[in-house]
Amino acid sequence: MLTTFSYAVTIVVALACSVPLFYILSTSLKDQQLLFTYPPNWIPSHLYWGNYTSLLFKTPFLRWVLNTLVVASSVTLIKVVFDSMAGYAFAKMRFPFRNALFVVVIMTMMIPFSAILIPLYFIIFNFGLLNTYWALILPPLANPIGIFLMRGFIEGLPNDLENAARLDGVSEFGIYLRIILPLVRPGLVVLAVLTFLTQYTSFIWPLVAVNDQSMQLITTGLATQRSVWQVNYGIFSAGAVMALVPIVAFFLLLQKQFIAASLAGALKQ
Amino acid sequence: MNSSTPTGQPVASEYDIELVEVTKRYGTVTALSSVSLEIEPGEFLVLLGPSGCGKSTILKVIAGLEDATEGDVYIKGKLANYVRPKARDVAMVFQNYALYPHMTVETNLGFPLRMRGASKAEQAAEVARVAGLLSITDQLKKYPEQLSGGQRQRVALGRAIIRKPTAFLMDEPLSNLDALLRVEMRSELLKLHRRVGRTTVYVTHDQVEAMTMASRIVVMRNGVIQQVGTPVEVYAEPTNTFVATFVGSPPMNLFEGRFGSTNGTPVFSGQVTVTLDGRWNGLPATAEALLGVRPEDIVVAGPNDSGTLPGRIELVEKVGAEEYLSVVLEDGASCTVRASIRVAAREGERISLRFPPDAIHLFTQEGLRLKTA
Repeated sequence: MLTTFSYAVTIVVALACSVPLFYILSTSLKDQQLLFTYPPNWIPSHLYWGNYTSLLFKTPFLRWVLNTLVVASSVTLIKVVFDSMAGYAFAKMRFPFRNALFVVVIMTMMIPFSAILIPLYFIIFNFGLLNTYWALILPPLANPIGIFLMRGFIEGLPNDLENAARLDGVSEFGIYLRIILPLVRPGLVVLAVLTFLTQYTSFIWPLVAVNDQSMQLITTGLATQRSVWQVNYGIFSAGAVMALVPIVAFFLLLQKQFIAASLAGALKQ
Repeated sequence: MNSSTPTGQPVASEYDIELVEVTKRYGTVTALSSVSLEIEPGEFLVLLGPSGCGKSTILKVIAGLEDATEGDVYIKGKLANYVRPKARDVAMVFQNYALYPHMTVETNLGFPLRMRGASKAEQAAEVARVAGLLSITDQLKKYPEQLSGGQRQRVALGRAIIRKPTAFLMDEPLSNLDALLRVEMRSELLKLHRRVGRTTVYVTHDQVEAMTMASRIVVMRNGVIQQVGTPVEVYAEPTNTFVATFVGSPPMNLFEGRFGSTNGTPVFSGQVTVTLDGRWNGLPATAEALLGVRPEDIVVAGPNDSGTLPGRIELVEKVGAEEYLSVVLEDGASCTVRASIRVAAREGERISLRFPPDAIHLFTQEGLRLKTA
């Protein structure tokens, strides 16, 4: 009885989640006329590929995808390395002002991004980094949530493991690399997925930091289409559908690990 | 005390490990207070004491995982204060085993060798040798989480043995095992120690482990060494009331009172009145003191015997071949008696006890052992 009920609920939720996706897919395959018919057609009477072709051939869409992948992967990779190191230091190493420094790091989480948007723009401007990959990669690295997350994961590991490694002849960096990292892999995956998703969908900062057409990301690039074709929902939908491809691939790639990681997180003592 | 020449050149030391006036403070808390200890080659030294007495801290200071706040640590006659853990040539077995969860048994065992740059062939040969020694050859491909507690314990031991260190440091290695396995592993550890023959410093709060395994016991309390001696010495001649009550189960009975003499014979009177033997001649009369007698030394006397202490049995705890009797003596003091079940004691019954004069320990009011004449 309960199983039937939970299946029913699952199906309803799954349908509710997929309806907008389906609507976007359907919209992307409609021409301008078909878009505004009332009542709306869920399944277009004929498939119109024009939205896709104009996006692919009249805009640097593929370049935006590349930019997005470069930026999101770089940020993810660097963050996973730096945040796990910082997390290790904050969790396990003893140094003066450790706790005070950690509080400072945490406090930076409380500052809303819009408050630092303008100063950050001037910093990047003064470094002459506007319209470069660095403008898109460097600022997100300072987000402390990863340090907080990794510290939590690493703190849970018993100290005796490191002590055993120390006696076995492993250097401090070796302990981080050979003992800590393999044991917090679920944490690393969570951090990687969160960071990648955040970067993949980030909008405000890229909008401010780059304005060259060739440096746009998917999000900001699509937004530029607004002014050119007014609001062409067909183009937007086609962009959204194509933007889904890399992120779905990324998730499928890490799916097993991600599910294991969210379980591990749930069961962590 | 130290075995280096003033120029810092090491000289041959008769000790494998030597602690000289080692003090360890964490902030305002003193974990070790001026601890001096010499550990001889091949010795099985047991550090015994209640939790928080500083025994594990001694191990960490020897291993180099903690720095001594004051004092010196010598390993093989060389000052080791500034030597990093990996260069100290000691191996440690941790209470929770500290096996690397992401490595197989084989990799766990070979890890210390790999870190020291041993060749693959050398690693494989040593892993096979140690696995054979500990009968874990068929577990080599498994991960720690697939092993039972006893098997994990063996792997942890193996990881220490494989390095052939100067000394093994063991931090309550049996405390996570169930009672039966603990007894089994205890004797296995001893056999292993005889075979491998290396200096072992073993931390435990379990006095049975200490008594059965140690060549010498160090009893600790609040970071201070209370007594160092063979198990027999610690049991038979405790230096103070702490050692007297900590070692031995059930603990030694203690009674307050003072000395006196009747017709020239020394007598202890107070919570109990006991005639002492000639060993205690010459003690100052009317000095306050504590009298101690072990539960197993107390004799259950016949009802008509003279010079006995009458009392009433309040509780009988049966522990197999013997039973522990809680007895309330006539003048209000209570004591525990370890008696054979043949005594067939029953709760509420009257009983007469005799403290054999040669089994009596005397302590000053401050708890220090009084020497016999």
